[in-house]
Amino acid sequence: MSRAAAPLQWLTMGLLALGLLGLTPTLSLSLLAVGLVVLTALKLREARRIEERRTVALLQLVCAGLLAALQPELGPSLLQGLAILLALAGLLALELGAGPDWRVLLRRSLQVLLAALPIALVLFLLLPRMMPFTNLGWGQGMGAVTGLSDTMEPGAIARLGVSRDAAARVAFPGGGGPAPMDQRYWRVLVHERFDGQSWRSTTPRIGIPPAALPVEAPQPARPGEGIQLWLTEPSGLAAVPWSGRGRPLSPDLRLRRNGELLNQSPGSQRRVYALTDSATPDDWRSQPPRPINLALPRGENPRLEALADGWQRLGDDRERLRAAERWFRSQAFRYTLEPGPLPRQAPLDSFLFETRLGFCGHYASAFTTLMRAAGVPARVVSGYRGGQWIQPLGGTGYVDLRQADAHAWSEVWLQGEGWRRVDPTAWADGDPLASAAVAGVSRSSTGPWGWVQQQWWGLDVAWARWWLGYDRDRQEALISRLLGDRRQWLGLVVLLAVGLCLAASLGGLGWLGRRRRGDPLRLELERTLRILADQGVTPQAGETLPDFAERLAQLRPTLASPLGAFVALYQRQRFAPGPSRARSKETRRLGRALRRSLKNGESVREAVQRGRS
Amino acid sequence: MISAIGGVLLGKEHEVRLALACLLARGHLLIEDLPGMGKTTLAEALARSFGLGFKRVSFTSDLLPADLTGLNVFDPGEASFHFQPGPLFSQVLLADEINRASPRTQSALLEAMAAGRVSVDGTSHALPEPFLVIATQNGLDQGGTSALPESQLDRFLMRLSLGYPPRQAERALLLGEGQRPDGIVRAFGPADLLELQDRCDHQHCSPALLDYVLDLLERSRRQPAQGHPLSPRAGLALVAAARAWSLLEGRDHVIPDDVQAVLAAVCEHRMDGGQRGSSDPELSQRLQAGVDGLR
Amino acid sequence: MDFGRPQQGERVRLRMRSLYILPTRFGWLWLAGTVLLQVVGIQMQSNGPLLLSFLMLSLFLLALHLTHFNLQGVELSCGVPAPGFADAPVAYPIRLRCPGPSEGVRLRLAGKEPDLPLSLPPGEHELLLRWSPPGRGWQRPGLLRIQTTAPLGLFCCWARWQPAASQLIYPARRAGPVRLLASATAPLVGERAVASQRDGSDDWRDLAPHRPQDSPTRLAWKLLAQGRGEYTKRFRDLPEAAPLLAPEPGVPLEDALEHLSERIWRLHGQGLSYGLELPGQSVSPGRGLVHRDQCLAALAWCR
Repeated sequence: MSRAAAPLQWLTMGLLALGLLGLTPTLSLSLLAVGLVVLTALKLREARRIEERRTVALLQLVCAGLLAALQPELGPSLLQGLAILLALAGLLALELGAGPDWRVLLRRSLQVLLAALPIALVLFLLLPRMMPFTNLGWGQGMGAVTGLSDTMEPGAIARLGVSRDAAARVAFPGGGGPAPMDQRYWRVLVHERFDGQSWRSTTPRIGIPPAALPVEAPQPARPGEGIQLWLTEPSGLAAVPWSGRGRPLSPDLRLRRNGELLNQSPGSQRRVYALTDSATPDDWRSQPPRPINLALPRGENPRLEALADGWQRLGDDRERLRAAERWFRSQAFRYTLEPGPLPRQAPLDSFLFETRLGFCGHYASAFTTLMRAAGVPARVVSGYRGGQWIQPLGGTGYVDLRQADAHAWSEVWLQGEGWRRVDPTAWADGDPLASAAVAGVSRSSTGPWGWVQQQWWGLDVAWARWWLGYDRDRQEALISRLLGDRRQWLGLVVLLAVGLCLAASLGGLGWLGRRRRGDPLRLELERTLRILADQGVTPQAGETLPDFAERLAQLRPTLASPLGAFVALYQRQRFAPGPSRARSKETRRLGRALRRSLKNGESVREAVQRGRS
Repeated sequence: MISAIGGVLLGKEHEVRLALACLLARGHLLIEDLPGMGKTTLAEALARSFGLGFKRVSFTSDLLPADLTGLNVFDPGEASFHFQPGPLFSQVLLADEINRASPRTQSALLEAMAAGRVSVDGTSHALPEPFLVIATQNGLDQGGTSALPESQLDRFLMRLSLGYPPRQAERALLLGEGQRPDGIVRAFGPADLLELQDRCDHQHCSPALLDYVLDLLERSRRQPAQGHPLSPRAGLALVAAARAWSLLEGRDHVIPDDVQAVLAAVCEHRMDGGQRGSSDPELSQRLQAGVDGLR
Repeated sequence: MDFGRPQQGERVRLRMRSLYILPTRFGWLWLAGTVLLQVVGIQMQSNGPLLLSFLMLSLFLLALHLTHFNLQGVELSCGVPAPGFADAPVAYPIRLRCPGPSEGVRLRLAGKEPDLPLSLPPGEHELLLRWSPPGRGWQRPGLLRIQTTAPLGLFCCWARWQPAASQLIYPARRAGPVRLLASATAPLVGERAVASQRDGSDDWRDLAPHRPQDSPTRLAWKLLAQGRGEYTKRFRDLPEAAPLLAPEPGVPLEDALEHLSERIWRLHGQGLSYGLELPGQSVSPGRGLVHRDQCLAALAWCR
């Protein structure tokens, strides 16, 4: 057992423990992972015999696998890969005797891993995948972290914290880009129920078994059709952001009538999904309003209702909308993140006629209530607004959405037009989006750190696209592209590819093992000796080169002169002071000449023998 | 010069060469054989050919250490002691039949060989330069001898055994064609010897050669069943002797062949602990066969 | 896992047919881990565990060959075993000729714990195996098992061989009574010991009138200073007592041989001379390594 074994195994434990830090503690599977890591550490502490240490290495690999299931993102994956490399080096350290130090072990470990990778990739890419056996709901219980919630109660919030945490990224790998800044609204939740205080969404919580829904494979994107690739941080919501246009490309995505996009994929906390980026008939926009879109607890905000009653007399919904806009613009509303709490009694009256301070939630809430009171079907929508366009080095650009971009706006139903987005926040003084547009600069994270982060996220997008996005459908597509309709050959192809990879890996490892670093001259000599050995002449034990050459020259007088020249130069180069590069080259040339004459000599001898017989 | 000495010692070219290499490498030489094989003749011829100050001490059982080193003699005339140097204070000391002396005298000699100086009654006296001891030793099966201990054998750079001369050479010997050592013409002076010794130290040892020597040492240590393991001092001796040999071969660098040429003479007595017959260089041959000589 | 036809002969080359390979217990555990990760991957529709499980599977496939390559083509032969004593483990030399690098090689003689794993570069190697011989005389160690689990411990590849060379084993060294016969060189009782004494330098004997050729170091300075004339001190060496050792009568032969073995060892350690008298053979007095080995070999062969 190498002395490096224990440090390597403990280092692996450290990396795994580091990986545990990123887990969501409430998830049942992460508890399992924590338990397993702790168990492995205890086992490593107790382990004395080689067999126990081996088991520890295996447990470490399983831990790394579990972590990989729980945290498939780029950063943690790199960490897990490193842990796997170290665990394997620890295992090698147990077997290779006391000699090698950690550097040798790491190199060996890397070699073995690289040798095993081709076979693993063939199996991974081509071996047909199975569906999950049952849905155990392993993905349940994720903490809600975003600025979005399915209940919106602006009056109860005195101060809105602005979090710079990442919320989502959307890339456009097929080309294209996002809408202009003032039209960049990414919808998530639709809040239709209003009880006078808070707006509720009718979205189901995550974890509803998707089996109840008709699963039909969506049409793949047509060539030339743009794609939006989404990467969302864990949110605890089944609804995921989208631009409001496009067609879902994965079977896990379902579009609700009210324009919410639900993602029912289990397991992974972060979600990756794709939609087409083309204009499609927006079904949800033309879904007629339901009575709930006019429901309003009457008498809660008397002054608001009085104002709305005045607009109700106007003949047209569009007139009422315009009147509301005019009214908002004429009042001194100001956007602020610290509006202070509103009273429990008539909160919206207080906001509209007294404080006139608020953020998006206040405006959306008050405006929607006004519209409903005026008889216009309306609802509150929450999601993200804006987002920064980032073009990383050598990758597809993406829009970066932060939690601070969370936003709420309204939608009103206009006869003949369908649901129209109205953003009352834009009418207020100091709206951040408007001021940003006026200033001409979008907020950007400056400094080298910000730049590094942007590049990293660019990599992350690529990772999500190629690695996380590789699922059964992509596999199907790959197999179809490779084999066309000759699917029955798949088994044979996989076997053949595995066999080929195995042979190549073994050959590569053998080559690495044989390759001895050392004097090129010495290697030259060994090549010559190998040819001689093939011809049945080997040096005696302990014989020196001049002695051997002399003996050889007596055996084969024809060889004497090339051999003599080679040996003289070789000896000089190896042992004399100040060996020179030019002479080394010359020696190697002589060596080649010698080998040539050796081979020729052989063939001549064979010819002679043939002639005799 | 080799031919000059070779004229004295018929048919023993290789041994003469080894003895010369030993001198060049500043080593002490132990010549071991049965009586009458020409040991003393070789030693004498070596000393004479360099024109070195030469003293000869026949070791006997009653020889005392002070007989070698010299002693403080009381001069009744001046009523004081003055140091009277012994035969040790010569450039070449021929210690004949060293195994006949008592162990105490032997160790006194060997200490002087190792340290290059002698202390008598608390005063230290430096030995002359160059200082070479050529010791001859009878085969062990001769009666009335006490063999050198193993630790002291190590102080001799080489051990030679002459063996019987070839038939032709012996015929020439019987015909009286050999030369007497006192007839040797002095070819070099002591200064030349010092210069040659200096050149020996500058013979080039390439890394590949050192690897070869290290492999030899390592192999002798890994197989204790085959003789005593070689000490680091043995390694130094081997390199020094090989350097001298390569100089005699007219090269400016050492090759494995040089090492092999001196291997038996340098290592055999260190490996067999002075116990086996000197005409059996089996151990060093086995050692040589165990290490790849192609470098 | 210790089955398979043992190879015979002085020299054996390990090939496909003489090598056996099976997964170790850890190998089976590894496969179980692979299945577990596969289940996790499928259940969570996650690529990471899937790829890792395939990676482990392909490491398993690779290890099968790598482990086999460690021993494939290795040539085993006996060295020349040095004699040893029956009371201590003795070293048995085995030569290995490896065509390529051989990793994690363990050698084990029957009934012994396997040695530590060795990583051998290509070329010739001589290894010493410790074993405890059952008794004196020419002995052969039992079956030799050569095995490796490197590089990953998933497979165990092994071969078995019966080395042919015998090793000379001396009787164990056990202190006990030994019969001492009078030596031929020692003075016999009653004879004047002086007769065999030689001049030497160890013990003062007497004074003799000083002769000019005598060394000044031997001058009796004290007497000279006292004005009693010039005398030379004379010294002598004590003659060495070289006993002839023989088995103690009344003690079983095996025990007596063990006592002799110990005595010879001790005498050699003290640098003394001794001879040996055994039923059927005798060794005349002497000392030194060769002499010692000769005596011990006589003990080993004694009937």
